[in-house]
Amino acid sequence: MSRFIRLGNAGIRGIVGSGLNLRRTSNYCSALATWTNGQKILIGCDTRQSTPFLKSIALSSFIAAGSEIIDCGILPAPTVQFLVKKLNAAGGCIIGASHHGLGWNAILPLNSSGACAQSGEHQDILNILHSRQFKLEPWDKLGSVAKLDSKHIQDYINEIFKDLNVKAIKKAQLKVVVDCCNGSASVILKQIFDKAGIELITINDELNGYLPHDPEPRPRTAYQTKALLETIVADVGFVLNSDATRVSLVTSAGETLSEEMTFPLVTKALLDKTKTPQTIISNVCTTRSVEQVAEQHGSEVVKVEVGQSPAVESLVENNAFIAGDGMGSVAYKGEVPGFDAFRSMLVILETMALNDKSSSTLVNELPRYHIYKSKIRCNNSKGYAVIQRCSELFKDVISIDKTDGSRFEWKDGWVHLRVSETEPILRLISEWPTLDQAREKAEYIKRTILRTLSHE
Amino acid sequence: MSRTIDNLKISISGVRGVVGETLTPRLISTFTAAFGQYVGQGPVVISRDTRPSGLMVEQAVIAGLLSVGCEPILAGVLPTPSLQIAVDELNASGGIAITASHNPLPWNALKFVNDKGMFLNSTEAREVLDIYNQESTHHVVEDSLKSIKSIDNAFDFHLNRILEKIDLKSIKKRKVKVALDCGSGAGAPFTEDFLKKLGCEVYAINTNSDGKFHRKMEPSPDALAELSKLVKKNNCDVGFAQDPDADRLVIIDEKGNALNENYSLALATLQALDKQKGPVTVSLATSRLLSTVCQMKNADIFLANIGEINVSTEMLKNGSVIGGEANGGVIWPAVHPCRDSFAGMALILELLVKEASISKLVSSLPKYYFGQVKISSSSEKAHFAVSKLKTLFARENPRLDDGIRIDWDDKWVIVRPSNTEPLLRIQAEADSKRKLTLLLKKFEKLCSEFIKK
Repeated sequence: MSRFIRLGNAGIRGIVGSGLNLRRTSNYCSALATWTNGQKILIGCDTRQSTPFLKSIALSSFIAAGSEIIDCGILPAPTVQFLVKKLNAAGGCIIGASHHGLGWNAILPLNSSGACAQSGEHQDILNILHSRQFKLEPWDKLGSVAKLDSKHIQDYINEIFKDLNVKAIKKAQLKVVVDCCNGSASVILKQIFDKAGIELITINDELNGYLPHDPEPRPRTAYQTKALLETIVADVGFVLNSDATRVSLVTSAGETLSEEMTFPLVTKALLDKTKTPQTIISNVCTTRSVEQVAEQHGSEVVKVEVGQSPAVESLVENNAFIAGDGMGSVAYKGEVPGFDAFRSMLVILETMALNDKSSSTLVNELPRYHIYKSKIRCNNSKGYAVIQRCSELFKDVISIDKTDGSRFEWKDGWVHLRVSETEPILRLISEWPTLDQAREKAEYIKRTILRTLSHE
Repeated sequence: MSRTIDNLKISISGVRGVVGETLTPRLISTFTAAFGQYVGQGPVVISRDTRPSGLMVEQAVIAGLLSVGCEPILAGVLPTPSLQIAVDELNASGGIAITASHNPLPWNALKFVNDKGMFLNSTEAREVLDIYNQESTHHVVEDSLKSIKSIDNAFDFHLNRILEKIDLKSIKKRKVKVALDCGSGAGAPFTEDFLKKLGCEVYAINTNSDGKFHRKMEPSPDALAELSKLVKKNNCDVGFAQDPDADRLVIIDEKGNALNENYSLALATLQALDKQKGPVTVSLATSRLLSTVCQMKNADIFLANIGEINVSTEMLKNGSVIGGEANGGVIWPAVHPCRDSFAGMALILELLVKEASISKLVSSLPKYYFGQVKISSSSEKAHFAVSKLKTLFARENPRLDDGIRIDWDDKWVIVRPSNTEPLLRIQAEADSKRKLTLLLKKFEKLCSEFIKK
């Protein structure tokens, strides 16, 4: 049976109605409001149809706990995360389904630095949730709701322009297509691209939450961008998810690039520019391309668990340069404590301008690998045991990284196995120099696992 | 001894509780979801009074309605009768008034309105309670979720209905001088303007709607000293006071005397019966003043159980042209079958077109003395006391449909457990002050003993 609800390190996520229902959400929001102790908090939203529903639950819970609420309305996640600290708030939450499909939604708690709550903090929230000891203020100490002063959006934009060579970008006179997936990005996108002097053509830029395609930036969701880019001859195309935390590219040659390539491209752009060795945070199922780019620049890569929270946590802890993953997300050193697709777009545009190279050329300069993703139907409870058994099955591996799931390394490639958080499946990712090799290895492993499963 | 909870009341009158204690966002939203499921997946209009907790309750109500596929229509701060009319005019599936009426500020409550703009009757309310208690609400998935709407002119429906039913020209010509006390309640944003539209010269106090209350919530005559002064200072013809959700009305005569709440209905009835012949329905605890008025006007009078919905349902059944309750609740079905301070004011202003003064009119009516006592009691004990009285007074041929009412030639008493508060209410009326005091004392003593047992 599919999971309708997930309560864990990424807040509460689920299918609205069946999993994320009124009672559960109400309790969760009351726990969150208790955790932030009735202090100042920010609420930011995406455009999904169910977001106003979840927002009304959040507002009633935070008002009941006496919180001073700054209602950011529809605003991209990185902007909200930046503003939490800027406005000295005790935390907040982002209501939105990000990359999840139709019918899903989520509430993502933020701590006082604006980052996604960390694992210890999640435990605190869950302890309050399970104890049902919610903070409730009497009528004369209830909270208030104020709209975000729009001048603060400028503060965010200034932050992401801080180290940027705007002059060079303006001079390059770039023409860019962006697919906003009808998410929150278009609220501030034009302001950002105007400031950088970029000619912007947007598609799916309505704030109606209607999903024009799967909200994950991927080659198969980039077809509209590709078509438009080829017609108007643009320099690059970007495909965003619905809260502007992930981005993938369509190159000037019309190649719909794997979302895996965003991170190595950004890594190379920034390391080329700083010319000093840095620490890069990656995770256990991200392309080797990042490691090779880092190596070429004398930089080190630290691999952490999958997810925004471990990435950003370790970015701060290691005083690292950037933290990214294979989904098209990158977080940057600075005042935005989360994945930031706006910054990623600007960095890519800057490197195009500074090097006077097309997006296609830049991508082709990167070490290229091919990733093949597959699923194996399997009970979640069994999944963990199956992954354990694989250590015995594949005797020829060089090393196994068990930071999150298991990553099996061979000389030329790797395979990563992980129990899905949302479905009764094992997620299998395989990366090799060619797609055929990646598929072949993945299918071989899938067969081996299925054979093992059928013997039990 | 059994433990009782005195800060929450979930009953057929709705949900009433103390903010910060029992009236939690979850309770409000889940109860609202049960109501939403009962009325079906249509539009539901939401109003609130001016209490500071109204905003929190409103958000939880929105969540509850959305969860079951209803479409919330926010009407903001609005008198309860205006909400009821808006539900009717907008062909909505129902309405929710967020108001604890005269209850103290820590309280708030939800009152539920059906698709005809009338409060749920006991059968309907029990259905909602069943859905709530069985936790059998069906939560809709994302693509069945409706969006939130708002309307900012909901009071206009109410205003227009009244304007259609009165002799506006004559009232305007009379240029009535009115002193007004909105009690900082839901009437505050509308009433002064309403009276001015009727050609009145208005002197108003407590017209703020920022949630700060300067007067006692309940507009009982003893709380209206300031309004009395205002009447006298400006030589007004009449003074009007509203309760926090503007469904009830109290009148001050031109000499500054605050009239017992029964006079609001008595005077309105005099005028309504002049406009249209027909029967009158009043609640069981209403003064005999109303019987007198009906006799004067040759109208039949019917008694209904206490509670707005009981009176208005009975009125529709017997075709009453006016009715109401002892608490200043005037129901003029020509406008809408609900308690309505605005309809009350309109009828009194029309009355003043032909009458010299309120005080003269009042002195022409016989005098009754009305009083009431409240005894704190759990619901269980209160019912026990009533059942003991039923045995004790069986020979007096009492009315037993709602608590117990005993009638004598010169007086009557009614004892009943409150539906909204942990109280036993004793209300009585007699033709002399001495008889009233004796009667109330006797029943207070009896009941206190029963409750102690």
